[in-house]
Amino acid sequence: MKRRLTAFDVFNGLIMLLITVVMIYPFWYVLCYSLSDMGMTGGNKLLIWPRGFSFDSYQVAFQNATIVHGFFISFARSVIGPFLMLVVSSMAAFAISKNDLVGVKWIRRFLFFSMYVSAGLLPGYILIRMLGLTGTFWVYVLPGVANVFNIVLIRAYMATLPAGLDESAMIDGATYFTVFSRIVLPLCVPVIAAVTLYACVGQWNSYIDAQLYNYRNPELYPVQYILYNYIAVKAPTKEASAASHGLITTAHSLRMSVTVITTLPILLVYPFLQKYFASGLLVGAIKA
Amino acid sequence: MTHGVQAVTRRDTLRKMVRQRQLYLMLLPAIAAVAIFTYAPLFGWWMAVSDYKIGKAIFDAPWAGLKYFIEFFTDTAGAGHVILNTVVMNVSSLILGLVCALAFAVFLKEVRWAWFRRLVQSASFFPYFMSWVIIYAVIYALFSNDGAVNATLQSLGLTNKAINILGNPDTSWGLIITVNVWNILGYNSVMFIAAIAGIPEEQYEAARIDGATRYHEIRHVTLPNLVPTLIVLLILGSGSIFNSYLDQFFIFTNTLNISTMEVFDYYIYRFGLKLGNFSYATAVGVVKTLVSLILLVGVNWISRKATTQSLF
Repeated sequence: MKRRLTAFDVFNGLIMLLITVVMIYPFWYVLCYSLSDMGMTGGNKLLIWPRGFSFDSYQVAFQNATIVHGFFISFARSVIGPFLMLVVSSMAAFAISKNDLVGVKWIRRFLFFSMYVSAGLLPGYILIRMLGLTGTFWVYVLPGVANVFNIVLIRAYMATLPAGLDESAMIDGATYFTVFSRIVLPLCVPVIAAVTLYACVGQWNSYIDAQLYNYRNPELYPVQYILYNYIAVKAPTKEASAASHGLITTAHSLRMSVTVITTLPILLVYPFLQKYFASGLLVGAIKA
Repeated sequence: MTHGVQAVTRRDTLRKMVRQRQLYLMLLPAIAAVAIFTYAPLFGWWMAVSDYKIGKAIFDAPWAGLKYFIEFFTDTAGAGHVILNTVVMNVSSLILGLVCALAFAVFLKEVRWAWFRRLVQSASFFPYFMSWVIIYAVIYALFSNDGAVNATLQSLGLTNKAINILGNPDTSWGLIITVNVWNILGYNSVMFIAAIAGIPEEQYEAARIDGATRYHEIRHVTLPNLVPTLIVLLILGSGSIFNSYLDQFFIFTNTLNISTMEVFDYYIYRFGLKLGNFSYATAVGVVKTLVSLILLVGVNWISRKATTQSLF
């Protein structure tokens, strides 16, 4: 049943367009500013297109060894963290999906209950220090290796696979591990992709762990923390406003270009994020 | 006789466990990590009832009783505003965030062009995947004293003084609630969009045969079908009324707006790691965790009684 285009359709479309603009424009503005010619950006007004055109601020950013190193740290944690999480969590999900595993009820309770308790910031901080993780790269990745929420998601997905699949393989003499790595895991690609991408974004976006555990180790700063420091220096206080204007202008566009560069990796995986994220979220919702 | 049977069963169980040893091996890393990183820190709660000094062994600290809990609820001038800030910002963000997402999902469904629907939904997700550093950088670029919005307003002669919303005690709550609703819209709406997709088409057809307009369809078919989702999401959210992202507040809180911006998690950070009062800050953390747990269980219980919607 096809309907005529009504005033409601037009109005609704405009509202949706407005929402789109509100979601995207702030980031678009920063992109425009970062690409603007620094000499021409006297007085920073709202932009819908770069004023002049120059890659200068990007050149400055990429010539800065600290920033480049920060990207390296961020990439490392966004690859190593999700990989370890995936290995640990998917193996655990496979094991607890076996209802005949002796003691599986208790193991599930042990894992699931951990989602509802958190000792808090300070006990966690003391633990990390006692483990000697302070001042190391591992503090970024190890605390998150067993992500129980992801274990639940992966297990929920495994439960949808046909049951007889691994039993027949087991009869043919395959071990649990072979069944997991050769048969079950390849069938779980959609959920694996969802949790991996989500973990990558989480790692890429973290900075507070660097502030808490690694602020004495600039060689371990991820790019988000470097950007945070750029912004924090210019917090909206009176001292900051007194800083010299020329310096601010340069620092301003550098901050913009670093913001854009930091956003880019997310933008690159965005289509995939969207595709798998929604489906992953829904498996979780059904589970919950 | 019974002994014999039991012995056989136990031997069977043991044999089964040996056969399943690979499964236990596969579980080992996860169990170890959860034990170490989630459960072991619970022993740190000892700090809350003892006089812990930084650098000393935790269990050497002398017993202090409930001193720090009492201090939090009575002495400290700072505690009241922290509770208020946290609850106001989180409750408003939760309710407004869900209601806006629901409305968004409902009206998105009414969009006629599939490509436009996809485009809008893609855009609505975007801020959710950005870090708080990026979000603050962007907001700062636009709304700081010398940011683009103020510069534009001034050049148009609409104001002569810059409007400060980032370091102003009067605007903290509005700023955070707006930013949260904006940030979470796409994420929250996914659930509602899925719920709408799950509504059987027959319901709409039946409504149309009865002469329903689009307004009637929204009011009597779409909305009632979304209520269960809304309730589940509200219950889920109620457990984190006292939790904030330190990532977010670490960057949004500054010396100018701290009186209305400071939330539990920032307060705990400030007292513990900045001022070095681990025992007091841990006590506050314990209160926060326990109240959250009670709230989650309580809301879940009420909801189960009242609407048959519950999580567990």
